[in-house]
Amino acid sequence: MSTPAPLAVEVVRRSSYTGEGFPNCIRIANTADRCLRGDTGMWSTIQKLGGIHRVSISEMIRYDREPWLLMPQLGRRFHRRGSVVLPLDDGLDNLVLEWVVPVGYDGVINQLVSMFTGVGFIEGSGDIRWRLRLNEWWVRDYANVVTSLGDVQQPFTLAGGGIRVKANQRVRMYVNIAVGAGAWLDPLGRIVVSTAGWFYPLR
Amino acid sequence: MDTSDPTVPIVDGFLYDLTLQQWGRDYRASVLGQLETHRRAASYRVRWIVVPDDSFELLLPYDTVEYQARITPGSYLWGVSVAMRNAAGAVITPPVNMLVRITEGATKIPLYDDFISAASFDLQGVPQMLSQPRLILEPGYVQVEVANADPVNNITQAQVLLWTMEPCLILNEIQLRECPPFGGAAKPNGGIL
Repeated sequence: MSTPAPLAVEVVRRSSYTGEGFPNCIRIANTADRCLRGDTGMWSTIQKLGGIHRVSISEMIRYDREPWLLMPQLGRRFHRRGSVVLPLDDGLDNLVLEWVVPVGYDGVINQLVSMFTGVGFIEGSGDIRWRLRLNEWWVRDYANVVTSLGDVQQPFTLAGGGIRVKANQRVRMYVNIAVGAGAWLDPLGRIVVSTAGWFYPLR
Repeated sequence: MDTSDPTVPIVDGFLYDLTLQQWGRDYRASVLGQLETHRRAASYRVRWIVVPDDSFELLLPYDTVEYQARITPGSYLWGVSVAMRNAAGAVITPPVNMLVRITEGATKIPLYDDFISAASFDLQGVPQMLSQPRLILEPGYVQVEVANADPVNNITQAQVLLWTMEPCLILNEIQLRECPPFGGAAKPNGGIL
């Protein structure tokens, strides 16, 4: 029995086009295709050279390392704190800290503090919940924190680069006291929160 | 027919209704103009990426879930829409508390500066077209984050739809003449050249 003729698609899979998962579909190119493939090739080349910032000759600010991982020379540290007396145990979110990232700067929050200074709070019980919000987004993993994070002497350091913030973004921290928890939480205690990190100029 | 010829009208899925008159001064007409090269290209095909795959995935209050959609490098992302259904299966408008952020994987640059309400993508089945189609480079993935800003209600049966055009294989004229299905003879080693 003779070997069946190979499909054309099997042959062109050995094409030099760099990509994977080529769809099993054969087409004939026209001028528009050549234009788009040329566009793709150009941007792939720029990517291989290290990105547009590497090949650009403009006077934009350049950072040797990612500025949200290592504070650059032009960076500015910040440390915003907020404190309120124990709010009502109504199950609602109460604003404790609010600030806005300055225009022209991005930043990173790499340290957090969320604590209760009084007695009666059991870590993880859910009696007190802290929440961090950026504009309308409840920050992933910090939107429903049921334990204290750090204290005023030893802030909690975020691993892996922190939480990046953008220019003009509104940063808010809330506290939520569970319904009925006021019966055993110290009424003289205070909720203390803080955010620390640095800003860096936009390129 | 060579669709790259500017005298040949574009007939594609963008405007199936040939009786629909376009008012040339709105956003949609401008974006379609930006997409003219893409619409005339013959070696790309439509690919809709659904995120998440499981439409019944639950999103709790205050929660954010993150997905990674695999896209063929060289594809163009040109539109986004959000589909949501209620428990009875009827299509409903996504709530304003459902937030979406889409980030291109190679450059880590998001499509929008911040999370955007999913209600912005609800155009009754028509995609929200990007002002410029976004080229997806190696390694070929798009990160989609969906967040629930509602303090009380879950979000369920919501999916983000990424409208892309995916590059297909291109044969040049020599390969066409020599390729068996198109009239050429088979080579012993299975190759053409």
